[in-house]
Amino acid sequence: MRFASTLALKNIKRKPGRSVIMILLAAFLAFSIFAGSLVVLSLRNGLASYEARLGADVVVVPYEAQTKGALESILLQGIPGYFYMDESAMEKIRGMEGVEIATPQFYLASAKAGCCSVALQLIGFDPETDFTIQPWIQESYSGTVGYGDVIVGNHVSLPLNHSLTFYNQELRVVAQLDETGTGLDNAVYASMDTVRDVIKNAESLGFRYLGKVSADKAISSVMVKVADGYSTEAVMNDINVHVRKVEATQSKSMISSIAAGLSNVSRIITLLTVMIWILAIVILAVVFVLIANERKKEFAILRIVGASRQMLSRMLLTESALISAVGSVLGVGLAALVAFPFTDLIRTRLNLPYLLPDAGTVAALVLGALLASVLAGSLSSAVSARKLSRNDAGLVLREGA
Amino acid sequence: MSLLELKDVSKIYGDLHALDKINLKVDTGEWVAIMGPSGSGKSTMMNIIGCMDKPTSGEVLLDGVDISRESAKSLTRIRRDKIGLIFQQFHLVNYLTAVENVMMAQYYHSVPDEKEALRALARVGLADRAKHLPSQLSGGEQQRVCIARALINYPELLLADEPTGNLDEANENVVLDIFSQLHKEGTTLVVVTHDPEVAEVAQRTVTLGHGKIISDKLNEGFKE
Amino acid sequence: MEKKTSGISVMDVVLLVLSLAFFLGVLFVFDPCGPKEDGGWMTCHWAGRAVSGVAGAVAVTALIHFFAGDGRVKMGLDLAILPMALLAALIPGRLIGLCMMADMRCRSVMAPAVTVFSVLLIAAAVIDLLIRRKSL
Repeated sequence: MRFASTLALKNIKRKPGRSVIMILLAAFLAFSIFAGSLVVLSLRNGLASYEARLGADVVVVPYEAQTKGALESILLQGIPGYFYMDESAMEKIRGMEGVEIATPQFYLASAKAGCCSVALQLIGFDPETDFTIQPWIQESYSGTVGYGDVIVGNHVSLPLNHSLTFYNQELRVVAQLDETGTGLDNAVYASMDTVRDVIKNAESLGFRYLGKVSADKAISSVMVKVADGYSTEAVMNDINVHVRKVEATQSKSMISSIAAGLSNVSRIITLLTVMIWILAIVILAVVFVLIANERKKEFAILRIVGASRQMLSRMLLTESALISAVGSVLGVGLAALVAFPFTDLIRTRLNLPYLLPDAGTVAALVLGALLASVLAGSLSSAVSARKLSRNDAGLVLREGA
Repeated sequence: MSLLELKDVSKIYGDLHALDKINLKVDTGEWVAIMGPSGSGKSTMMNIIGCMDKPTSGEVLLDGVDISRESAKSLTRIRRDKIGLIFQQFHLVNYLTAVENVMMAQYYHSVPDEKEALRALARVGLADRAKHLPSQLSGGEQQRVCIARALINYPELLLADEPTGNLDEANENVVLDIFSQLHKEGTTLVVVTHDPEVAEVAQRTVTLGHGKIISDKLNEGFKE
Repeated sequence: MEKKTSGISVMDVVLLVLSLAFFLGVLFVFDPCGPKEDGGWMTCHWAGRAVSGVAGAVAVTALIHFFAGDGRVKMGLDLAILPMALLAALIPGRLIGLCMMADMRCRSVMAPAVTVFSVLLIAAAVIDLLIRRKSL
């Protein structure tokens, strides 16, 4: 076995330029398939996360032109926004048929000059009725969210017990949430009482956010859970017809537009990967044919010395497998080096929910990419290996002589 | 029993009878030279004995086994196990050292053994050139590596095709001395050549002409 | 002791190109966040300055490596690059803080780029070391 690998290594070393090209081609294969599938999987993971965090069946916001867009910006990109309506709308929704739970949310953006160098999104929820945020909080924090406590999203780096001042209101960081891969990672969460006091402070400082709505009665949105047996669409239509000055949307449609964006990106990535693979494999096959031609005489000698056709094929395959293996490791390594550190950049550029899969999935992906590229690289030599070993040894030697 | 026996062996290419009903016996331990001008059929005979070609008709018995009926795959095996081949051109793998070239023959036969390979090189006087590449060896030295390689698997028959054709006189003598030594040790040698001086040092000379055996006699001047 | 003269190898060029790209990159391509509205700088600005300083030192070392004639000197310089590259990697976020939000430029662009370059530089230096060790 050692001798076989010595032979393979000698052959690889004596033509370093060619070997480097082949290694790079194999690296390309591995890079493209690993990076491509990582991105696609992360997008799918992100969409699932987005759907889970949305939680509600129907989302109700004030009926103004920009509001829906503002909400999507908050949820998707983490761009702080705010809008308000009177909570009487929520009371009305609670009384409607088919509505199992209706819980309010409150959005506020901090002023830059206040606590932070950028505007920070504050999201308030009602601990009594909330069914979207609290389950998520419980995944990483078992205590209760009291008055003045704030829970930060995964992309907000603040140490625990850090004091955050929003419009002169001091808040205390008690926990940090797990990553969602959505804009919700950029926000901080507190109970409704806390947030209402914050906005009262803001008003007293001269910031006019509320418009005509009073601070004690203001809410930004209503998250609705539809009861079993009722059609979500019907409830949505009901709300739109019967409750004034609001707009209700099915979360399904919010998700489907993102899903469309996801499949577009997916398709492009898949197309690119396939093109790269075809190109790389073709080039590799051509290189192997060139190698086979160049080594005709050598193989004839080996046949005379006693090598069977099988042994020669195996020799060539060992060489190509070795080169493919080195290239594949290189490719996956480089892809990992780029894809993981730059996760946040990829997310912002794609403008879609993007969440890296768990370690187990990533490990499986690495293995899969390595296997696929080693196989592809090795098989591109298969054709020329067969052709080479079929050459009539005696004939070749006489030709050469 | 003879080690090698050709019975009515013919090789016909269309109208051309490269070999015409050849009958030849070679006993174990004999040193036979097969002589003839180009076109006499000696290369064809070399190919057939060396399991690189099959006769059109007739039998070729190597150690009692008829190799004229064997498949290509088993011909390879027989060639590998029983015959050591030496050519006029030194067919060495140019990126392997001398000892590695010898080990290649071991590798396809059984297991590469560097010590044995070095011993084989010592037999031909090249122990100190073991780690050299063919490009660093003279013609004579390369041919000697080929001889060592041909011997490494202890073949029953050593078959040489114009082994000194590309060598100067000094190196030719070195190679012929090695052949003489091998013959003394009991190796069966069949040397194909057009050079009468090379044929003379063998035990017996078979002369071919136009595909037929013209003469087959023992060399008087042969020294045991 | 015999002085072993070395010509210019592939790794010499690789190290030089990488370190120059790193240095210029931190200054112009993957630089940290811009100034605040009042003209002051955030902490990430100083992290960027520190990294560019270290990167500059690495670049100079790589330049000396490029022109050094003695193979052993080159190996010593390879060893020197290792802790420097590690230092550069530890500055953003660990030794000097960065901004709070993950999408800020310093965290989404500069820090990952510094990581990538540090890893590549360490890899290149180690490869060069191993190659030179073999021929000793």
